[in-house]
Amino acid sequence: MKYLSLKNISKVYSDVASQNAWVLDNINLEVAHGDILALLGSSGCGKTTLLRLITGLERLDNGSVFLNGKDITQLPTHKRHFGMMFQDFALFPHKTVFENIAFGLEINKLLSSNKKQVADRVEEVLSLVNLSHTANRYIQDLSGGEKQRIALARTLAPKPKLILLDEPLGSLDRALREELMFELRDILKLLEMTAIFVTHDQTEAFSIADKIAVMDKGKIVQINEGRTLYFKPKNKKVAAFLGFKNLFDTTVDQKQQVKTPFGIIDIQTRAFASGDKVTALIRPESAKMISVKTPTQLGQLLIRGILTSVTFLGGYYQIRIQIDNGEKLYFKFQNQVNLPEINSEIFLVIEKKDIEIIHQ
Amino acid sequence: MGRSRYSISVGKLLIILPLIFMAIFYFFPLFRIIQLSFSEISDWSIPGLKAVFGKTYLLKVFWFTFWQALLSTILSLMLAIPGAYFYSNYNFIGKRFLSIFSMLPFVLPTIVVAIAFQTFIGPDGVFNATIMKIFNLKEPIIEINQSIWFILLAHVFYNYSVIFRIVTAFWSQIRQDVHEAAATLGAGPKKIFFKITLPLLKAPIIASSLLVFTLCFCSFGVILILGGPGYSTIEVEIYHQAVNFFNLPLAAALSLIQILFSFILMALYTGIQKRASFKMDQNLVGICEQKVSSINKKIVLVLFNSLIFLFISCPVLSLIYKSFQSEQGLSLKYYLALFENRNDSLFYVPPMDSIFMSISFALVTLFISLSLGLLTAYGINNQKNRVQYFLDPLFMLPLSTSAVTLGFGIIISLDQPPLNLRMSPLIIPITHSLIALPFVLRSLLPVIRSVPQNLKDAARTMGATPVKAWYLVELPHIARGLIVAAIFAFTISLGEFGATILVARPQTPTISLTIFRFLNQPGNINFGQAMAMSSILLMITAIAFIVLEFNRKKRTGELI
Repeated sequence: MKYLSLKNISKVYSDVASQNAWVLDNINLEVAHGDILALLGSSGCGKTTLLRLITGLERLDNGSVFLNGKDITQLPTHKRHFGMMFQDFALFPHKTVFENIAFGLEINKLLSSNKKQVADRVEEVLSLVNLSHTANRYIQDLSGGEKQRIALARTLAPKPKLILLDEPLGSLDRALREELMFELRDILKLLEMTAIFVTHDQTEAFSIADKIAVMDKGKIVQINEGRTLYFKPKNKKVAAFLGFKNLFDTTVDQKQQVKTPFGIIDIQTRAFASGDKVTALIRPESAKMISVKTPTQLGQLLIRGILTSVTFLGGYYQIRIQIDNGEKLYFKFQNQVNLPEINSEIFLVIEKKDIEIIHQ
Repeated sequence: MGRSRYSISVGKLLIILPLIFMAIFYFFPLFRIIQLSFSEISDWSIPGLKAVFGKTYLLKVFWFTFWQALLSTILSLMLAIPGAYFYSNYNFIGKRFLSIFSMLPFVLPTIVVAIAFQTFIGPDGVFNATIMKIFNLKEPIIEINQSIWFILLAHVFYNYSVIFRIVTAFWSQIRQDVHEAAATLGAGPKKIFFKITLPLLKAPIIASSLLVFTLCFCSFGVILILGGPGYSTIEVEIYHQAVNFFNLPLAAALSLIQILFSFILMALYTGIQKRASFKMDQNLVGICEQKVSSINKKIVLVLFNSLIFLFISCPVLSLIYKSFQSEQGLSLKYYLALFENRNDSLFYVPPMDSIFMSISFALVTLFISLSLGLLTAYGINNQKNRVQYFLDPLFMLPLSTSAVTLGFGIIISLDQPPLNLRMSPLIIPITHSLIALPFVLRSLLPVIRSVPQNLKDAARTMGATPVKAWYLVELPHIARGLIVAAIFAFTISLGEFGATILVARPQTPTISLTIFRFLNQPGNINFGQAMAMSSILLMITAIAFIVLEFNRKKRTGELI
């Protein structure tokens, strides 16, 4: 039995204004003790609702939540001893940094029998986030990054059994976000916290989480480690969400082959039957440029197209080419490569084995 | 910046005319009050002050002024806080209507409220008549005529919405996630309320209570009409001393006390309100309105809404109903009588003429206060920040000076050359403009400040002259504020009572004064005419109020 497990969770949420009913549809999920799980998905996919169901802030319509094998479905939020970090931090505006962090300790008499204990623990978590000097400040005097760290400190102070983070870095600017991403993971790992966090940013998910659950329309589509997710996306949705652009819909034929605009590919696995609708995924870093039109070797595919744009992105170039049928493809190349002129012909080769065939 | 030296200096000079207006019509009368009260209080030692204010009946007045204001505030709080809870946390049918409707009393003229309450729960009122009919009783069951309850009820009617509106605005700004954060940290619903919600609401609750206390402390019309001779606040006493006993020095001494008290109260109010809005920084605005789920809460909500609805509508409807009832049943008798100048009438003018006179005064007030308001708003806005901090509250001072003191100050100061306005009808709209100016300014200044500079700059770069840029870009932006300001000025002038009763001449009575004179005459026909005129005034004010609500900026923590 895993530390936290969700069984058949469903939620119908009718939004009066738009008449939409968002559904969490039969979610099953397990998280091991000390693991960090990311819920990754576009807005409206139900990831925040799922988080709120776990905290008990939202009632579920069906299913159960187990912690350490105990059914806590009916337990009210304030008795669950979970920590939650909110998107805009939800710090108490009428309290100082110290009072904010002390709140969770003073509420739970078991955690702190006297003022000294409270003060010690507050100091402990404040130094953990490197903000000891801010204890007496009011919330409105903090910067965005400081607020984020204080919110984390407040969540950690009562030693929660599970910590939930709703877009914890969402309201910060890019540079700060990248810095705090690693810090957040370090702290969670140091304290051996079990954590679930919601994000729509794949980089954030890859950097912080041990495992990533990709959600779409109220369902979990795939749960894997970041690496597996990247190299073996389960379907086109997941691939598109991870930022892959070179996706070509096709159908498996009688000979276990698929046709693409650049040639025929044999399917290696038995995962697909003839007639299956599939998508061919070409990773942007998988192509090699060749200078003249040379015959391709066995196991290679030739892509011929017009180079329509070149974007310099620091460590590499991103190029866009247009092939005969009008479709556009995107590739990444090292800076050293000599690219042809814009609007002239370009020839690329790809190893057939680098083309991933996935469900549509 | 891109402005020329010339335009900066003109912009700054705009403030001069409003400053002159304030100097003549506010500060000079204030100075005269102080001067006059010095002739009464020659000895500023404790025994000397005791000799002036230590008389038993005056001590009773002070004590009554204080405790009726305190009790009115507590009662208003008791009604407003549960209301604010429902209206800021839940969504339900009729919410928008009821929250606007509950603001209606605040704009109703004092005299209308006083008569409305008499027609509803007075000895001959609709309530008593109905109960007597149903249970076949000989005596009315509620006899609160000229009792403290009558006054308290009217004060709650007036001021409930003040606390309600301010607290609701703040309460609905508290983000739901702050409560949720407390819940995840282990706080149950009760602890969340007492440790998070209530502390966050402390400032708006205290500020709005202080405001209501000040308003009740300075209450005049309600006490004079509903309280009868038995009850007198400082405000009423100033009026009696000045008008009935012609003891101007004592009236001045009392005015000084009133001014000191209301200044202290208003200073406290502004201080607390500023702190409150500072803490609720704009990024924290979040509205979460769920449906009422538990059946108990639903029942309480329905009861509460019915109570508020009946509390406001019953007196108002009673007034209209009774104004159409004569001894013979349904009739227009009282309305028709308004057109006659009966021979035994003490009035110099037919009652209907006072309506037209009032409307003319209101229009002149509108013109004066809007012109001054625009000059003041731009004048203030064009100054350096440091100067603004000083000028803005300066023009708000008339708000924290009670109506009777304002009127009294004007009649004792502007009665001799070079400026003798005692006989001029202009003195009424000028006094009204002084009272309306703070309201006009508060409606204009925020909208003028909210016009984005880059819009004006864009218009200028596209070749518009400053005047054209103002007309084409800025005016449409501030139009709403102008409408709100105009309605404030118009309705304040129409309903003003406390200052008008002192400054108006007998031949130029306003609607409120005519109604008051009717009330002081015996006989059904006089009371009937008072009701008819009150109904007309009610109608005009209600229409103005509806227009006002449609143009008001939504969800502001400030009342005006």
